Amino acid sequence: MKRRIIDEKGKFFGVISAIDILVVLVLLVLGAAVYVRFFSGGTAATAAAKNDAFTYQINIQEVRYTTFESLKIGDDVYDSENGTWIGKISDISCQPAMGESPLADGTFVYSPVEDRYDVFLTLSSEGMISNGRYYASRIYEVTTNSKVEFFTKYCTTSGYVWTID
Amino acid sequence: MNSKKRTNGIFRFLNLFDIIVILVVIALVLVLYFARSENPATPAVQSSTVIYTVALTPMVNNSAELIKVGDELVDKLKKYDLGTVKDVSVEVAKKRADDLVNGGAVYGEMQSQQSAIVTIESACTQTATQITVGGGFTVRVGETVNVRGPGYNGIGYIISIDREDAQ
Repeated sequence: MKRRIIDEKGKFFGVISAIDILVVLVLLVLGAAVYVRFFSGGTAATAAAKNDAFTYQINIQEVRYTTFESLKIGDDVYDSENGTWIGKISDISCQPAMGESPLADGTFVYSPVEDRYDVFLTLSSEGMISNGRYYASRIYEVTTNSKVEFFTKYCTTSGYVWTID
Repeated sequence: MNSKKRTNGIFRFLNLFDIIVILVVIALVLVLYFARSENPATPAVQSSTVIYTVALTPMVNNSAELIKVGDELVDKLKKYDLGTVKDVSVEVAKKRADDLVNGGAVYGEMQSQQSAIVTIESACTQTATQITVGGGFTVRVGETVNVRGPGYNGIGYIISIDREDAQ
């Protein structure tokens, strides 16, 4: 006797329905997602790709000395806009702030700013270097002359990307 | 002869396949639960105390003198509990100005206005990336604060935090 592929109850070969097959597929996808997320050491993308390392400097201008004191080597740094990790502080220094100040004759002079400091942060970052472009965490593009608003656990401030190594 | 099998109890409603699906779903939920509790990426929250200092400036009409040790401070906008005043000092307010004769910038004193330097102690929760007081206010140096105390108000910045790992 010839067996029908789909019987009168809608089951394939009289054993399993289309809904059951769908449920099994959903469970398989869920199981794979759980494995990748929790047991494979990261996302599928990061597992498949090796990160590039690079360092860059940020110049924070005209801040209080206490702002400098709130930043320490080893602090993780995140972009304020979306919370992306953009590096870890590997070096830090500060010096009395300097800036362009106007004179009465309409010219400017590069001169000291009282009671404020310029801070230089060196960030060690990981991500991707591609065609001369640097991406922290593979998504945040680091470019010199760009203003970065960032935070650590203890401080939020902004500065300019000064150099990239 | 009727060949239909009689089924009892729960098997009247569930077939073998349904039971397998239910068991797999339960297993997935358990795996998710234990994986989350063991995963280091899950932010660990700790309760502790934070001491931070804010500079409220400028304050007019000697209102800075109203700030007293022990005052309970709240965030004016969202009503977060910011903590208790532990110390306060009042000084003449300063404002950045350009030295048009010699060049450079100076912070000149404004004799009619004051700055209040207020040290605050508060219970907080901490994760690896932030310190939160009052259930929602993130404490970081550079963060703007809009403080309301008993009978006074002040706007300024957080200028320092006592770091746990400070040497």
